[in-house]
Amino acid sequence: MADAPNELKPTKQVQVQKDKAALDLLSVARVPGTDQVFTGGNTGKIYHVDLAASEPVPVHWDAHISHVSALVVTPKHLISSGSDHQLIWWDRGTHKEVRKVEQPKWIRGLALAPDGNTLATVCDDMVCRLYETETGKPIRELAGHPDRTPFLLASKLYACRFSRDGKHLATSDQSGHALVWEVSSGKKLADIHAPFFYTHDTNGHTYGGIRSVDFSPDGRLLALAGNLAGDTSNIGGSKSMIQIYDWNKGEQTHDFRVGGNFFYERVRFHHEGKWLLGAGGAGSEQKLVFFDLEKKAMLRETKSPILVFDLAMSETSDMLYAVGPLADQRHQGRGSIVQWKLANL
Amino acid sequence: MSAETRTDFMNRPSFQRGFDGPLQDRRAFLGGSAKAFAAGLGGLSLLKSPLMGDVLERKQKRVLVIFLNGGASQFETWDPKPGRPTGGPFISIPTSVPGYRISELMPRMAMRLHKHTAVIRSLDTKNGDHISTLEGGKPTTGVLRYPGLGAMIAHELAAPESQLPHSVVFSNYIGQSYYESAGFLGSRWDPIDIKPGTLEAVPPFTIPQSVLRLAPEGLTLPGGLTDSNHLERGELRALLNREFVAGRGRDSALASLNSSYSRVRGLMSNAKLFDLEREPQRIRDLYGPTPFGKQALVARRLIEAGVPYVRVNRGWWDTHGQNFEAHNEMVPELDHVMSVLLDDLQERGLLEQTLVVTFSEMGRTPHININQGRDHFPRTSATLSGCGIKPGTIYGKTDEDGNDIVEGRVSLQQFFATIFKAVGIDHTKENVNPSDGRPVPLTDYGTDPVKEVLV
Repeated sequence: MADAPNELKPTKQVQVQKDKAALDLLSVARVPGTDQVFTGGNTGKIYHVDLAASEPVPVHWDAHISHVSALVVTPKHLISSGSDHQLIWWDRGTHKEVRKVEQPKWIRGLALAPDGNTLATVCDDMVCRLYETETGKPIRELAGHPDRTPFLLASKLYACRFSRDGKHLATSDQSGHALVWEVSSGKKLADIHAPFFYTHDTNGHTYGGIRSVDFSPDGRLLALAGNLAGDTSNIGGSKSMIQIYDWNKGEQTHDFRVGGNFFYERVRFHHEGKWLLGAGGAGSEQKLVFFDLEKKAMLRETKSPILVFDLAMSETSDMLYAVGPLADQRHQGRGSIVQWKLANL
Repeated sequence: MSAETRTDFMNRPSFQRGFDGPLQDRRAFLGGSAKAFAAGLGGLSLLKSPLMGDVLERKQKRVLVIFLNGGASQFETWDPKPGRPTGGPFISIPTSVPGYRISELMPRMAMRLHKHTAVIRSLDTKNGDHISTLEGGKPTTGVLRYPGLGAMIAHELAAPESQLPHSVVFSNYIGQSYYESAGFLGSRWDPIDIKPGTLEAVPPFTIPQSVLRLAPEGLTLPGGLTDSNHLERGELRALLNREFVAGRGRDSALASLNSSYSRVRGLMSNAKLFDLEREPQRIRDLYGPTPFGKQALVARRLIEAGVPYVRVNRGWWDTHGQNFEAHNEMVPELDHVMSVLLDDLQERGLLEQTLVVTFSEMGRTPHININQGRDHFPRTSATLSGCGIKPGTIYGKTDEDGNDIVEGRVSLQQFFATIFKAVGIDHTKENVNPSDGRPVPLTDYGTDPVKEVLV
């Protein structure tokens, strides 16, 4: 476990729109085998950026009414989801709308099966929906998350992720439940309850939740990421937390907590399991944190110029693409893409 | 109702059942028919006076405040700006008022706006911090301590000999609440503040847990003390007080003390009002299981019994981070509880006499900070429902990004004057500050209510 990146300076940083106040980038998807990314913002726009260009010029179009919450890339299409309840298929080349499907509430996340044939969505109505990726035909709905938090308020379904072999799908919610589903049958295989992800602060804000999930390459472990109790109203004293479970046994195997004003928005395993990456940010802290699973210890952490709201990794885990707002709040049009080279240099 | 004759009201089922009938019928009669009742009692010439009729009618009015402390976002409630850089994630939905849209997080209120509610989208509290807007934004100056909204209302609406509390405040279940003192009106008009208890932190939580309380502490007698014992003690105390006072002239401190004992006894005799077990399960289910829902149901019971002023706090809306997650959780609950409360008051015939006010000490910024939060902002939205309100009125307007008010700016003093006017209180009335004899009006001199939202 010595292959953690030993030097982490961004190799490229692009601010997509410099003349717009309060623009945040919330989602990103990478075109496989390239340095091209699509990224979605809080003004409903999607930006297409080729980071291989010496001076990348983002191309954008209006896609949603408000937040573009998630993006995935297929051979033909870009698929976007929004807080406006819309799931939209776009022609990747022309950026023209191909198909639109409406769901009842804010669609929080998307996941594409490794074979590309199945698309999973998670929505604030607490239902995960599976679709045929290219046709948009519904396959089935996966319902089983509690729709109320322990404080009896409406919960949210934050994240979904397929295992590398495509057989399993994990979904996670606000109150600390992560469910594992058999994709072929829709059967619920496991309900991991990790209650420390559900929190309230001293003034009664009751949020938190498992914001991101990922399977280990062998599919045995499930990493859950979010934060532990703190004053989340001011993002002060909020500890970031990653817990890992052997989901088949229902046993927790790892518990990583990092202090400060910080919580994780994303967690990803190295494609061969050499390390685990947690990324996020809040307040004055934003960083990438790498963990050694064998030693159950942090390998290293590095400061990020942005709060990471979403990320994409290359197939061989050597390149990282992250989006979010520049941490310096004085910037106008702060939404930025940052690229890092993760391999040993 | 004013045209109803004595014969008409005698034919009503509530009259034929007598006063042991369902509470809602009795209250509807008492509230809505005050003038008619006065006019129908031929032998009581005093009650035939229009002035006395107005006083009687005013005394039946009540105010229920849902206070969103911490500063709820106007963008995620009554003044959404979807598709604008300031708009946040939520879309807007149409309401029953043509052309007016609110946040998708409030579908139940969207269907009811035309029935009971006026929205003010242009309230300028001139306050960008967590000071108590409930005291009119007025600081203590010298010997002058301004009374809070609840004390002023209770002072005007409470029946002098009533054994009911004048004013009841349910503190925020968790976190901060704002106290509103009676100021120079005197402690007699201070609210009964029902605060939650606390327990030590229990994992997974790392901070103390709140324990919901729906009734004031000490409503029941200590063990070994029967009700008759307590009454006898009270009689003995009254006797001793009378002898003590005799020959000492008028002593306001003694009078206040006696009044306090009387109020405690009155409160104990009204303990059932705070007991939700007396409410049918169907009604409890309607309000829902959350602390806010339960507090709102007790508030309705108090209003129904005639308590002039009740405030329920729901917080904490101070969302410098994760604004959308917090509002996604709390606004649907507000929508649910507010709509159930209005329906319930209407079905019981109480809404004609009850003004329901929903507001915050401030709003939240159009600018969304990097923590997906909104910060403090002195301009906000508020609603008035029920008594004296022209339903379906949408008053005031902000610009396309919600940065400023472009039509119908309403000051906090105007907002208070509108509340007073809606329940028949003369907002220009002066009370005297006993410390210096200064006359102090309920609202600042020259303040006008927002007549457009009033019937």
